[in-house]
Amino acid sequence: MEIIKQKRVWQVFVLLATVFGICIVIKGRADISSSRKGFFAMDTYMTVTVEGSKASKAAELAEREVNRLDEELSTGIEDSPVSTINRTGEGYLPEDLDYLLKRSYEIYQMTEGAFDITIYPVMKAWGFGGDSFCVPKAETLKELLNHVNMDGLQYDQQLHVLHLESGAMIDFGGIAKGYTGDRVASVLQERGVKSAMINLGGNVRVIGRKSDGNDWRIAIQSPDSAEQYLGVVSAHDVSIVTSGGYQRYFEKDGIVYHHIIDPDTGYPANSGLLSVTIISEDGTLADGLSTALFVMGKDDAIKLWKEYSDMFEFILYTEKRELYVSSGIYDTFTSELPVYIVE
Amino acid sequence: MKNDRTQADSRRLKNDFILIIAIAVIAVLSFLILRFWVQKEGDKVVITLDGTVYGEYLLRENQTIHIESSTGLNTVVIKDGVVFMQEADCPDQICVKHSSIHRTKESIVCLPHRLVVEVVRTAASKKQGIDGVAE
Repeated sequence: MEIIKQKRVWQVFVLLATVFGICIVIKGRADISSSRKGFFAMDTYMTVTVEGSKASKAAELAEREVNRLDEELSTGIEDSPVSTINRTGEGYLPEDLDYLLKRSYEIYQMTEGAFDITIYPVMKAWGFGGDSFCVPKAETLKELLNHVNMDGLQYDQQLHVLHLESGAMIDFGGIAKGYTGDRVASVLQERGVKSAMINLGGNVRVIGRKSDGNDWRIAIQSPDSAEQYLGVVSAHDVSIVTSGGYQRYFEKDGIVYHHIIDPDTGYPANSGLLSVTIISEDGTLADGLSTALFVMGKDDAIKLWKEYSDMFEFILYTEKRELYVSSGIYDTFTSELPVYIVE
Repeated sequence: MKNDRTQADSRRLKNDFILIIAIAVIAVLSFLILRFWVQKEGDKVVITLDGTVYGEYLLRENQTIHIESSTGLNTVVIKDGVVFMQEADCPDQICVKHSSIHRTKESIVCLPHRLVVEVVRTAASKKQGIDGVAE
Protein backbone atom coordinates (compact mmCIF):
# COMPACT_ATOMS: atom_id res chain seq x y z
CA MET A 1 0.00 0.00 0.00
CA GLU A 2 2.84 2.41 0.94
CA ILE A 3 4.79 1.58 -2.22
CA ILE A 4 1.82 2.47 -4.41
CA LYS A 5 1.29 5.68 -2.45
CA GLN A 6 4.95 6.68 -2.79
CA LYS A 7 4.78 6.15 -6.53
CA ARG A 8 1.69 8.33 -6.64
CA VAL A 9 3.44 11.05 -4.64
CA TRP A 10 6.24 11.07 -7.18
CA GLN A 11 3.83 11.02 -10.12
CA VAL A 12 1.96 14.03 -8.80
CA PHE A 13 5.20 15.82 -8.01
CA VAL A 14 6.59 15.23 -11.51
CA LEU A 15 3.29 16.28 -13.06
CA LEU A 16 3.22 19.53 -11.11
CA ALA A 17 6.85 20.27 -11.89
CA THR A 18 6.21 19.71 -15.60
CA VAL A 19 3.14 21.96 -15.61
CA PHE A 20 5.08 24.61 -13.74
CA GLY A 21 7.96 24.33 -16.21
CA ILE A 22 5.64 24.64 -19.19
CA CYS A 23 4.02 27.73 -17.70
CA ILE A 24 7.39 29.39 -17.28
CA VAL A 25 8.42 28.59 -20.84
CA ILE A 26 5.14 29.80 -22.33
CA LYS A 27 5.32 33.00 -20.34
CA GLY A 28 8.90 33.49 -21.41
CA ARG A 29 8.17 32.93 -25.10
CA ALA A 30 5.12 35.18 -25.01
CA ASP A 31 7.32 38.04 -23.92
CA ILE A 32 9.66 37.47 -26.87
CA SER A 33 6.89 37.89 -29.46
CA SER A 34 8.46 41.14 -30.56
CA SER A 35 12.07 41.97 -30.03
CA ARG A 36 14.52 44.64 -31.00
CA LYS A 37 18.21 44.48 -31.67
CA GLY A 38 20.53 47.41 -32.20
CA PHE A 39 23.91 47.91 -33.80
CA PHE A 40 26.26 50.70 -34.82
CA ALA A 41 26.78 51.32 -38.54
CA MET A 42 27.03 54.19 -41.04
CA ASP A 43 28.20 56.40 -38.21
CA THR A 44 24.96 56.07 -36.32
CA TYR A 45 22.88 53.76 -34.16
CA MET A 46 20.37 51.48 -35.86
CA THR A 47 17.65 49.19 -34.59
CA VAL A 48 15.65 46.36 -36.12
CA THR A 49 12.35 45.45 -34.47
CA VAL A 50 10.82 42.22 -35.68
CA GLU A 51 7.53 40.64 -34.65
CA GLY A 52 7.56 36.90 -34.45
CA SER A 53 10.44 34.72 -33.46
CA LYS A 54 12.99 35.78 -36.07
CA ALA A 55 14.29 38.92 -34.37
CA SER A 56 17.90 38.05 -33.64
CA LYS A 57 18.52 36.50 -37.03
CA ALA A 58 16.84 39.47 -38.73
CA ALA A 59 19.08 41.95 -36.95
CA GLU A 60 22.11 39.93 -38.01
CA LEU A 61 21.02 40.01 -41.66
CA ALA A 62 20.21 43.71 -41.44
CA GLU A 63 23.59 44.56 -39.97
CA ARG A 64 25.37 42.57 -42.64
CA GLU A 65 23.52 44.32 -45.47
CA VAL A 66 24.07 47.76 -43.93
CA ASN A 67 27.79 47.13 -43.52
CA ARG A 68 28.03 45.83 -47.08
CA LEU A 69 26.53 49.07 -48.41
CA ASP A 70 28.54 51.23 -46.03
CA GLU A 71 31.74 49.73 -47.38
CA GLU A 72 30.73 50.85 -50.87
CA LEU A 73 29.50 54.37 -50.29
CA SER A 74 31.18 55.66 -47.19
CA THR A 75 33.30 58.76 -47.66
CA GLY A 76 34.88 57.92 -44.31
CA ILE A 77 36.33 54.61 -45.50
CA GLU A 78 39.50 55.33 -47.46
CA ASP A 79 39.22 52.57 -50.05
CA SER A 80 35.49 52.62 -50.64
CA PRO A 81 34.48 53.08 -54.28
CA VAL A 82 33.18 56.58 -53.48
CA SER A 83 36.35 57.63 -51.65
CA THR A 84 38.48 56.28 -54.49
CA ILE A 85 36.50 58.24 -57.06
CA ASN A 86 36.73 61.40 -54.97
CA ARG A 87 40.46 61.01 -54.49
CA THR A 88 41.48 60.02 -58.03
CA GLY A 89 38.70 61.64 -60.06
CA GLU A 90 37.57 58.38 -61.55
CA GLY A 91 36.35 54.94 -60.61
CA TYR A 92 34.07 51.96 -61.02
CA LEU A 93 30.58 51.91 -59.53
CA PRO A 94 29.33 48.55 -58.29
CA GLU A 95 25.65 47.68 -58.84
CA ASP A 96 24.17 49.49 -55.82
CA LEU A 97 26.14 52.68 -56.52
CA ASP A 98 25.21 52.53 -60.20
CA TYR A 99 21.60 52.48 -59.07
CA LEU A 100 22.16 55.30 -56.59
CA LEU A 101 23.81 57.46 -59.23
CA LYS A 102 20.86 57.03 -61.56
CA ARG A 103 18.32 57.77 -58.80
CA SER A 104 20.38 60.77 -57.66
CA TYR A 105 20.28 62.24 -61.13
CA GLU A 106 16.54 61.62 -61.37
CA ILE A 107 15.92 63.46 -58.10
CA TYR A 108 18.34 66.20 -59.14
CA GLN A 109 16.24 66.83 -62.25
CA MET A 110 12.94 66.41 -60.43
CA THR A 111 13.93 69.06 -57.86
CA GLU A 112 15.74 71.31 -60.36
CA GLY A 113 19.03 70.96 -58.56
CA ALA A 114 17.86 71.27 -54.96
CA PHE A 115 19.24 67.76 -54.47
CA ASP A 116 22.78 67.41 -55.79
CA ILE A 117 25.36 64.82 -54.78
CA THR A 118 28.18 67.04 -56.02
CA ILE A 119 27.53 69.43 -53.12
CA TYR A 120 30.10 67.47 -51.12
CA PRO A 121 33.11 69.88 -51.43
CA VAL A 122 30.93 72.67 -50.08
CA MET A 123 29.76 70.52 -47.18
CA LYS A 124 33.37 69.68 -46.41
CA ALA A 125 34.27 73.37 -46.41
CA TRP A 126 31.73 73.95 -43.65
CA GLY A 127 33.08 71.01 -41.69
CA PHE A 128 30.12 68.69 -42.20
CA GLY A 129 32.35 66.13 -43.88
CA GLY A 130 33.94 65.20 -40.58
CA ASP A 131 36.45 68.01 -40.15
CA SER A 132 36.11 70.80 -37.64
CA PHE A 133 33.34 73.30 -38.21
CA CYS A 134 34.11 76.68 -39.72
CA VAL A 135 32.41 79.41 -41.71
CA PRO A 136 34.04 79.44 -45.16
CA LYS A 137 34.91 82.71 -46.85
CA ALA A 138 32.45 83.85 -49.51
CA GLU A 139 35.16 83.63 -52.20
CA THR A 140 35.91 80.04 -51.21
CA LEU A 141 32.26 79.09 -51.53
CA LYS A 142 31.97 80.86 -54.87
CA GLU A 143 34.91 78.90 -56.20
CA LEU A 144 33.61 75.60 -54.86
CA LEU A 145 30.15 76.20 -56.30
CA ASN A 146 31.70 76.07 -59.77
CA HIS A 147 32.15 72.35 -59.21
CA VAL A 148 28.64 71.77 -57.89
CA ASN A 149 26.74 70.48 -60.89
CA MET A 150 25.51 66.93 -61.44
CA ASP A 151 25.35 67.63 -65.15
CA GLY A 152 29.13 67.83 -65.09
CA LEU A 153 29.49 64.16 -64.19
CA GLN A 154 30.62 61.84 -66.95
CA TYR A 155 29.36 58.29 -66.60
CA ASP A 156 30.09 55.38 -68.87
CA GLN A 157 26.89 53.34 -68.63
CA GLN A 158 28.48 50.27 -70.19
CA LEU A 159 31.61 50.09 -68.07
CA HIS A 160 30.01 51.68 -64.99
CA VAL A 161 32.90 54.09 -64.75
CA LEU A 162 32.31 57.56 -63.32
CA HIS A 163 34.59 60.45 -64.17
CA LEU A 164 34.66 63.65 -62.11
CA GLU A 165 35.80 67.03 -63.35
CA SER A 166 38.75 68.49 -61.50
CA GLY A 167 37.61 69.80 -58.12
CA ALA A 168 34.37 67.83 -58.06
CA MET A 169 33.50 65.30 -55.36
CA ILE A 170 30.39 63.24 -54.66
CA ASP A 171 28.61 61.95 -51.59
CA PHE A 172 25.53 59.73 -51.52
CA GLY A 173 24.84 60.71 -47.90
CA GLY A 174 21.59 62.42 -48.88
CA ILE A 175 19.96 59.20 -50.11
CA ALA A 176 22.12 56.45 -48.60
CA LYS A 177 19.97 55.66 -45.57
CA GLY A 178 16.74 55.71 -47.54
CA TYR A 179 18.15 53.24 -50.04
CA THR A 180 19.68 51.12 -47.30
CA GLY A 181 16.31 50.90 -45.56
CA ASP A 182 14.76 49.52 -48.73
CA ARG A 183 17.62 47.06 -49.21
CA VAL A 184 17.36 45.79 -45.64
CA ALA A 185 13.60 45.42 -46.06
CA SER A 186 14.21 43.34 -49.20
CA VAL A 187 16.67 41.10 -47.44
CA LEU A 188 14.32 40.55 -44.50
CA GLN A 189 11.28 39.92 -46.68
CA GLU A 190 13.24 37.36 -48.69
CA ARG A 191 13.82 35.59 -45.40
CA GLY A 192 10.10 35.50 -44.70
CA VAL A 193 9.82 38.46 -42.34
CA LYS A 194 6.32 39.92 -42.67
CA SER A 195 6.35 42.47 -39.88
CA ALA A 196 9.28 44.65 -38.89
CA MET A 197 10.44 48.18 -38.21
CA ILE A 198 13.90 49.29 -39.25
CA ASN A 199 15.28 52.50 -37.78
CA LEU A 200 18.51 53.65 -39.37
CA GLY A 201 19.55 56.55 -37.17
CA GLY A 202 16.12 58.16 -37.43
CA ASN A 203 15.35 56.99 -40.96
CA VAL A 204 12.38 54.64 -40.51
CA ARG A 205 11.24 51.81 -42.78
CA VAL A 206 8.33 49.61 -41.82
CA ILE A 207 7.48 46.21 -43.24
CA GLY A 208 3.88 45.09 -43.10
CA ARG A 209 1.79 45.84 -40.05
CA LYS A 210 2.37 44.85 -36.45
CA SER A 211 1.39 41.34 -35.41
CA ASP A 212 -1.83 42.67 -33.86
CA GLY A 213 -2.90 43.92 -37.29
CA ASN A 214 -2.42 47.60 -36.48
CA ASP A 215 -0.25 49.97 -38.46
CA TRP A 216 3.11 50.95 -37.05
CA ARG A 217 2.87 54.22 -35.18
CA ILE A 218 5.83 56.42 -36.00
CA ALA A 219 6.27 59.75 -34.23
CA ILE A 220 7.88 62.68 -36.03
CA GLN A 221 10.54 64.47 -34.01
CA SER A 222 9.86 68.11 -33.29
CA PRO A 223 12.69 70.54 -34.07
CA ASP A 224 11.61 72.63 -31.09
CA SER A 225 12.36 70.18 -28.34
CA ALA A 226 13.83 66.72 -27.94
CA GLU A 227 10.84 65.82 -25.79
CA GLN A 228 8.16 66.76 -28.29
CA TYR A 229 6.72 65.28 -31.43
CA LEU A 230 5.13 67.08 -34.37
CA GLY A 231 2.66 64.25 -34.59
CA VAL A 232 2.28 60.54 -35.22
CA VAL A 233 1.92 58.72 -38.54
CA SER A 234 0.24 55.32 -38.74
CA ALA A 235 1.91 53.42 -41.54
CA HIS A 236 2.71 50.14 -43.20
CA ASP A 237 5.18 49.22 -45.96
CA VAL A 238 6.69 52.68 -46.31
CA SER A 239 9.76 54.72 -45.49
CA ILE A 240 9.45 57.78 -43.29
CA VAL A 241 12.37 60.19 -43.51
CA THR A 242 12.72 63.52 -41.72
CA SER A 243 15.24 66.24 -42.53
CA GLY A 244 15.87 69.38 -40.56
CA GLY A 245 18.58 71.82 -39.68
CA TYR A 246 18.20 70.89 -36.04
CA GLN A 247 19.74 67.47 -36.76
CA ARG A 248 23.25 68.74 -37.37
CA TYR A 249 24.54 72.26 -36.85
CA PHE A 250 27.10 74.44 -35.19
CA GLU A 251 27.05 77.94 -33.78
CA LYS A 252 29.59 80.68 -34.43
CA ASP A 253 29.34 84.25 -33.15
CA GLY A 254 25.70 83.76 -32.28
CA ILE A 255 24.66 82.45 -35.70
CA VAL A 256 23.49 78.88 -36.25
CA TYR A 257 24.77 77.08 -39.36
CA HIS A 258 23.11 73.75 -40.22
CA HIS A 259 24.10 70.92 -42.53
CA ILE A 260 21.45 71.21 -45.29
CA ILE A 261 23.36 73.31 -47.80
CA ASP A 262 21.53 75.02 -50.65
CA PRO A 263 23.40 74.01 -53.84
CA ASP A 264 22.53 77.39 -55.35
CA THR A 265 24.07 79.56 -52.65
CA GLY A 266 26.55 77.33 -50.87
CA TYR A 267 25.02 78.42 -47.56
CA PRO A 268 22.70 76.51 -45.22
CA ALA A 269 19.22 76.57 -46.72
CA ASN A 270 17.07 79.36 -45.37
CA SER A 271 13.71 78.57 -46.89
CA GLY A 272 11.42 79.02 -43.92
CA LEU A 273 11.14 75.34 -43.09
CA LEU A 274 12.31 73.74 -39.86
CA SER A 275 11.52 70.14 -40.73
CA VAL A 276 10.47 68.12 -43.76
CA THR A 277 9.14 64.59 -43.53
CA ILE A 278 8.55 62.46 -46.61
CA ILE A 279 6.52 59.27 -46.58
CA SER A 280 6.91 56.98 -49.55
CA GLU A 281 7.07 53.34 -50.60
CA ASP A 282 10.33 54.38 -52.25
CA GLY A 283 12.89 54.93 -49.51
CA THR A 284 15.55 56.34 -51.82
CA LEU A 285 13.10 58.94 -53.05
CA ALA A 286 11.92 59.75 -49.53
CA ASP A 287 15.47 60.40 -48.36
CA GLY A 288 16.45 62.53 -51.35
CA LEU A 289 13.24 64.55 -51.33
CA SER A 290 13.39 65.25 -47.59
CA THR A 291 16.63 67.16 -48.14
CA ALA A 292 15.53 68.75 -51.43
CA LEU A 293 12.19 70.01 -50.15
CA PHE A 294 13.88 71.54 -47.11
CA VAL A 295 16.04 73.53 -49.53
CA MET A 296 13.12 74.42 -51.80
CA GLY A 297 10.79 75.84 -49.18
CA LYS A 298 7.08 75.37 -48.68
CA ASP A 299 5.66 76.80 -51.91
CA ASP A 300 8.02 74.99 -54.29
CA ALA A 301 7.71 71.82 -52.22
CA ILE A 302 3.94 71.87 -52.58
CA LYS A 303 4.25 72.58 -56.31
CA LEU A 304 6.53 69.57 -56.67
CA TRP A 305 4.17 67.35 -54.73
CA LYS A 306 1.23 68.28 -56.93
CA GLU A 307 3.24 67.07 -59.88
CA TYR A 308 4.23 63.78 -58.26
CA SER A 309 1.45 63.26 -55.73
CA ASP A 310 1.18 59.54 -56.28
CA MET A 311 4.82 58.98 -55.36
CA PHE A 312 5.06 60.49 -51.89
CA GLU A 313 3.35 62.38 -49.09
CA PHE A 314 4.83 65.13 -46.96
CA ILE A 315 4.72 66.85 -43.59
CA LEU A 316 6.23 70.33 -43.58
CA TYR A 317 6.89 72.29 -40.38
CA THR A 318 7.50 75.99 -40.94
CA GLU A 319 9.36 78.63 -38.94
CA LYS A 320 5.93 80.00 -38.08
CA ARG A 321 5.28 76.66 -36.31
CA GLU A 322 2.63 75.63 -38.83
CA LEU A 323 2.18 72.08 -40.10
CA TYR A 324 1.38 71.48 -43.76
CA VAL A 325 0.37 67.94 -44.56
CA SER A 326 -0.37 66.42 -47.96
CA SER A 327 -3.91 65.13 -48.35
CA GLY A 328 -2.85 61.51 -48.84
CA ILE A 329 -1.90 61.08 -45.19
CA TYR A 330 -4.56 63.27 -43.68
CA ASP A 331 -6.32 60.19 -42.34
CA THR A 332 -3.24 58.61 -40.88
CA PHE A 333 -1.48 61.58 -39.28
CA THR A 334 -2.48 62.88 -35.88
CA SER A 335 -1.08 65.94 -34.18
CA GLU A 336 -1.80 68.26 -31.30
CA LEU A 337 -0.61 71.15 -33.43
CA PRO A 338 -2.85 72.91 -35.99
CA VAL A 339 -2.58 71.20 -39.37
CA TYR A 340 -3.11 72.68 -42.83
CA ILE A 341 -4.06 70.07 -45.41
CA VAL A 342 -2.75 70.48 -48.91
CA GLU A 343 -4.97 69.02 -51.61
CA MET B 1 0.40 -6.56 14.53
CA LYS B 2 -0.67 -3.29 15.92
CA ASN B 3 2.90 -1.99 15.65
CA ASP B 4 3.01 -2.75 11.89
CA ARG B 5 -0.13 -0.81 11.28
CA THR B 6 1.05 2.19 13.26
CA GLN B 7 4.34 2.16 11.34
CA ALA B 8 2.41 1.99 8.03
CA ASP B 9 0.16 4.80 9.18
CA SER B 10 3.00 7.07 10.22
CA ARG B 11 4.82 6.41 6.93
CA ARG B 12 1.65 7.26 5.01
CA LEU B 13 1.29 10.41 7.05
CA LYS B 14 4.88 11.28 6.38
CA ASN B 15 4.33 10.86 2.61
CA ASP B 16 1.24 13.01 2.73
CA PHE B 17 3.22 15.58 4.60
CA ILE B 18 6.04 15.48 2.05
CA LEU B 19 3.53 15.80 -0.78
CA ILE B 20 1.87 18.82 0.81
CA ILE B 21 5.20 20.48 1.45
CA ALA B 22 6.32 19.80 -2.15
CA ILE B 23 3.15 21.34 -3.59
CA ALA B 24 3.47 24.34 -1.29
CA VAL B 25 7.10 24.84 -2.27
CA ILE B 26 6.28 24.65 -5.98
CA ALA B 27 3.41 27.10 -5.55
CA VAL B 28 5.55 29.62 -3.71
CA LEU B 29 8.49 29.19 -6.08
CA SER B 30 6.32 29.67 -9.18
CA PHE B 31 4.75 32.78 -7.68
CA LEU B 32 8.13 34.26 -6.80
CA ILE B 33 9.72 33.43 -10.13
CA LEU B 34 6.81 34.76 -12.19
CA ARG B 35 6.67 37.89 -10.12
CA PHE B 36 10.31 38.80 -10.00
CA TRP B 37 12.23 37.00 -12.71
CA VAL B 38 10.07 36.44 -15.80
CA GLN B 39 8.00 39.58 -15.42
CA LYS B 40 9.51 42.72 -14.02
CA GLU B 41 6.82 45.34 -13.76
CA GLY B 42 7.31 48.95 -14.62
CA ASP B 43 9.39 50.77 -17.19
CA LYS B 44 12.98 49.66 -17.50
CA VAL B 45 16.16 51.42 -18.50
CA VAL B 46 18.34 49.19 -20.65
CA ILE B 47 21.98 50.10 -21.15
CA THR B 48 23.83 48.40 -23.99
CA LEU B 49 27.53 48.57 -24.66
CA ASP B 50 28.59 47.82 -28.22
CA GLY B 51 25.40 45.87 -28.81
CA THR B 52 25.46 43.72 -25.70
CA VAL B 53 23.21 44.43 -22.76
CA TYR B 54 25.24 45.92 -19.92
CA GLY B 55 22.37 46.10 -17.45
CA GLU B 56 18.68 46.67 -16.89
CA TYR B 57 17.36 49.01 -14.23
CA LEU B 58 13.91 50.01 -13.09
CA LEU B 59 12.99 53.56 -14.02
CA ARG B 60 11.18 54.06 -10.74
CA GLU B 61 14.29 53.34 -8.66
CA ASN B 62 16.63 56.29 -8.17
CA GLN B 63 20.17 55.20 -8.85
CA THR B 64 23.52 56.17 -10.33
CA ILE B 65 25.24 53.82 -12.72
CA HIS B 66 28.92 54.15 -13.51
CA ILE B 67 29.94 52.43 -16.70
CA GLU B 68 33.61 51.91 -17.30
CA SER B 69 34.48 50.38 -20.64
CA SER B 70 37.50 50.09 -22.86
CA THR B 71 36.31 53.22 -24.65
CA GLY B 72 35.71 55.42 -21.64
CA LEU B 73 33.56 56.40 -18.69
CA ASN B 74 29.85 57.23 -18.58
CA THR B 75 27.70 58.07 -15.61
CA VAL B 76 23.98 57.40 -16.06
CA VAL B 77 21.57 58.73 -13.47
CA ILE B 78 17.98 57.61 -12.92
CA LYS B 79 16.15 60.09 -10.74
CA ASP B 80 12.47 60.89 -10.16
CA GLY B 81 11.35 58.83 -13.15
CA VAL B 82 13.77 60.22 -15.74
CA VAL B 83 17.17 59.12 -17.03
CA PHE B 84 20.04 61.31 -18.12
CA MET B 85 23.75 61.16 -18.74
CA GLN B 86 25.33 63.03 -15.88
CA GLU B 87 28.90 62.71 -16.99
CA ALA B 88 31.00 61.21 -19.74
CA ASP B 89 34.58 61.57 -20.87
CA CYS B 90 33.76 61.44 -24.60
CA PRO B 91 35.03 64.34 -26.73
CA ASP B 92 31.71 65.57 -28.17
CA GLN B 93 29.61 65.48 -24.95
CA ILE B 94 26.44 65.08 -27.04
CA CYS B 95 25.13 62.45 -24.64
CA VAL B 96 25.60 64.75 -21.65
CA LYS B 97 23.90 67.64 -23.41
CA HIS B 98 20.92 65.45 -24.32
CA SER B 99 17.81 66.24 -22.30
CA SER B 100 16.55 63.64 -19.85
CA ILE B 101 14.37 60.85 -21.19
CA HIS B 102 11.50 58.91 -19.66
CA ARG B 103 9.26 57.77 -22.48
CA THR B 104 9.30 54.36 -24.07
CA LYS B 105 11.72 53.99 -27.00
CA GLU B 106 13.47 57.24 -26.07
CA SER B 107 17.23 56.86 -25.97
CA ILE B 108 20.49 58.63 -25.26
CA VAL B 109 23.40 57.46 -27.36
CA CYS B 110 27.10 57.99 -26.66
CA LEU B 111 28.44 57.24 -30.12
CA PRO B 112 32.17 57.39 -29.33
CA HIS B 113 31.71 54.89 -26.52
CA ARG B 114 29.12 52.84 -28.43
CA LEU B 115 26.85 53.10 -25.43
CA VAL B 116 23.07 53.29 -25.62
CA VAL B 117 20.68 54.13 -22.80
CA GLU B 118 17.10 53.28 -23.67
CA VAL B 119 13.73 53.34 -21.94
CA VAL B 120 11.82 50.13 -22.50
CA ARG B 121 8.24 49.36 -21.59
CA THR B 122 7.79 45.87 -20.24
CA ALA B 123 5.13 43.48 -21.54
CA ALA B 124 3.03 44.15 -18.46
CA SER B 125 2.52 47.82 -19.20
CA LYS B 126 2.53 47.93 -23.01
CA LYS B 127 0.04 50.43 -24.38
CA GLN B 128 -0.97 51.53 -27.85
CA GLY B 129 1.92 53.94 -27.86
CA ILE B 130 4.62 54.88 -30.27
CA ASP B 131 6.66 52.25 -32.04
CA GLY B 132 9.43 54.43 -33.42
CA VAL B 133 10.54 57.99 -34.05
CA ALA B 134 11.55 59.48 -37.37
CA GLU B 135 14.14 62.12 -36.54
